[in-house]
Amino acid sequence: MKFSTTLLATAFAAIGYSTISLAAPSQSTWAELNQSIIHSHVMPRYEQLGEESQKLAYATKALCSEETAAEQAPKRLSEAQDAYRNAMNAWQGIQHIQFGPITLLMRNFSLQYWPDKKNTGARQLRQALTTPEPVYDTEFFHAASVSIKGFPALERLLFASTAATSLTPNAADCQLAVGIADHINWNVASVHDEWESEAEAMAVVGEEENYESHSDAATAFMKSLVEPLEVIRDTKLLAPLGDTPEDTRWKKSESWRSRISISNVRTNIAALHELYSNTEPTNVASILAENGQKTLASGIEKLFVKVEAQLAPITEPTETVTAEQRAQIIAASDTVKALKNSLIDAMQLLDIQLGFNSRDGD
Amino acid sequence: MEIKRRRFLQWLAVSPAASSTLSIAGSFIDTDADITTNNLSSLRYASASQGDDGQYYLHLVDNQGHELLRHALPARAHQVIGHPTRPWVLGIARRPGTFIEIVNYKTLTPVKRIESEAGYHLYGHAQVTSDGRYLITTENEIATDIGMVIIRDIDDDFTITQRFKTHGIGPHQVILSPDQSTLVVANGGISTEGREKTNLDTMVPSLVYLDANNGALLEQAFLADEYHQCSIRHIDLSPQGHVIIAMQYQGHPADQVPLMASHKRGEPLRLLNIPMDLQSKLDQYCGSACFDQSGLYAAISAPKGDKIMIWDMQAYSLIGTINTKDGCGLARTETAGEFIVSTGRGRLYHVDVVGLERKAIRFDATPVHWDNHLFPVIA
Repeated sequence: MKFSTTLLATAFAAIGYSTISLAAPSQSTWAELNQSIIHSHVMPRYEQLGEESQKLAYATKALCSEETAAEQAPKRLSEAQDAYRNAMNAWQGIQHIQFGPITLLMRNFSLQYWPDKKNTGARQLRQALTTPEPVYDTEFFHAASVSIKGFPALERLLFASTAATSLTPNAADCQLAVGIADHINWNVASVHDEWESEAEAMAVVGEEENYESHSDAATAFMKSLVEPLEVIRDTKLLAPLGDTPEDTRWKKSESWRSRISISNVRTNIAALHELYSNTEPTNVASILAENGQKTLASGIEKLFVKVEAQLAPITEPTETVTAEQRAQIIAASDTVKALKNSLIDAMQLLDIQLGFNSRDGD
Repeated sequence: MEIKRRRFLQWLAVSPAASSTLSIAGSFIDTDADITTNNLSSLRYASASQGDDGQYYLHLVDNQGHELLRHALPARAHQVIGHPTRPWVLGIARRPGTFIEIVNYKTLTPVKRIESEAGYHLYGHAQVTSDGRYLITTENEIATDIGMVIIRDIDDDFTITQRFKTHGIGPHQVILSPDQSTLVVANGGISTEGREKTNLDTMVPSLVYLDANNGALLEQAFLADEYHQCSIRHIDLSPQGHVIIAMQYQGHPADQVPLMASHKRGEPLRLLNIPMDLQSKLDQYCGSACFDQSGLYAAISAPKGDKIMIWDMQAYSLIGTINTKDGCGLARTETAGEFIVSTGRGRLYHVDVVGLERKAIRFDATPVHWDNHLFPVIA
């Protein structure tokens, strides 16, 4: 069922978008876009995450190996911390895909239980570390709380102020760190494997299939493009700042222990930017331009470039957020909001239904 | 199992013993009458919507998808119900709105727009007594945050005649029992400023039964403390007095918490467990709850997970799910085991508990985004 483009044209004429040659893209265009996104965006990024999480598992094992000489320990710890930052960065580069295999059995939350407002992760971690004769194997992780299966729990262990002494080969902290890194690696490998069949499912559409049409399948990607912007602005950038400088709690930021909270946002924006205008052979920006919306298409591109430029010079806050950092973060978050609004307009013009009841129900 | 269920439903269709009364749109009808022949053409469905033009509407549609009424609204509505004795539909403003729009669907003309009193707002839900006399709404006394049920006399130009406390914050859906004696109210538990939620750490949702004549608290059921963030929002009442509850969890998306429950008077709330692989797809949100005509089956919509769940309410077991993108509105048909589903993507489907299949109903007017709820109207 197509929604009336005449009505849309009337609505958008009022706010100044071009209504000449307004027509929803064809199903074959959406099919081509879906394949472009899968092969030049989703799969390479899950592959990257797979590689980095494997390196993280190796680095954590090396740190916790009995063969590691005591004088090697500081270097091994620093290598494990770097591997953590790289793996987290790879996750930030594909975190926006919140459908398909990643949602099965809470894998997304197992990888990253955040924000953790009730401090569940800390409590569960303490409990896991004080269990007598712990074995952090598959069975343990099957039963464990999602809050200790992924990046935030591993970050607590690898970046603890006591890490140099608590992460020694036979210590529970080390064994659990190895277990979590292995679990992340296994989780990511499963998602990557299953995307092969998800990719096929997205190509075969019909009334009885998972996706009714190619535009329906594309809607899943378009949600992945638009919806994370709200989380980036509200939860990642503004929530730690609080309403006033006195309310600032940088410990509410996503990766304050490993000091990559701002870096995460840079990676998120770069990933969304790629999803918008750099998938091959076709992309959202070119489809928008081909459907009579050149101005809007280039406006969105400029907003991506602008927010990237605003994020680039921000240094990672530590305990306190300086006035300069605060102003920089607020400026970037304003651009993220403008970007989101422009993308929502674009989705309406492309006849993509992001959701009505599912986005704003009661 | 499927064949067994099919036979069972066939038996229900001809058995007057299954239930003598049934609650539809705050009214009740006699199932001893041969529903399948007499009332087939008389059941309509009412819903609110938003069009692609941004305008909000209320609608009445017949069971073939033919639009009988489309009426533009001042703002977004939530529940639309029929009046049991007059050709009216009543659209109730979504929280924190203040209007109730009443339209005659035979003459297609507005009857009246009433506003909640100064200092009050609505929560989007209402009922009308089966004699057609009284309008019952859930409202918020804004200054105190006290949840209220307000009774208006329709025959006396909607003058308020009674005000009952709901013994909780944020009363949402209200259902009047078929015998007109009891009001069942879902206290969502959430304080809001505008649409902003302000008390998530301390919220206490509950299900209450009030005496419909004097507002006396007859019974109140609470969830265990650990589930206090499961907002009890949408409910339905079976002819047998069984309540089904659709909840919306306000905590972390990964928490393992109930999203559905049921209740019978004098018993504790019974949590309905969903398999984890399904639960992980629902985004902690259920939209509407609805018993079928027999009261033995229920449907619960999860629009964020694109799923309709069908439950056997005798065995408390999940029969299966039906995929519908952004599906939220649910209404029973006059046939046991059957429901109509409406979606934010503008679709209407017929679904049944036997085949767990959906059949598209072609809507014959300009498509709209169907809003959260769909209710049967007896014409």
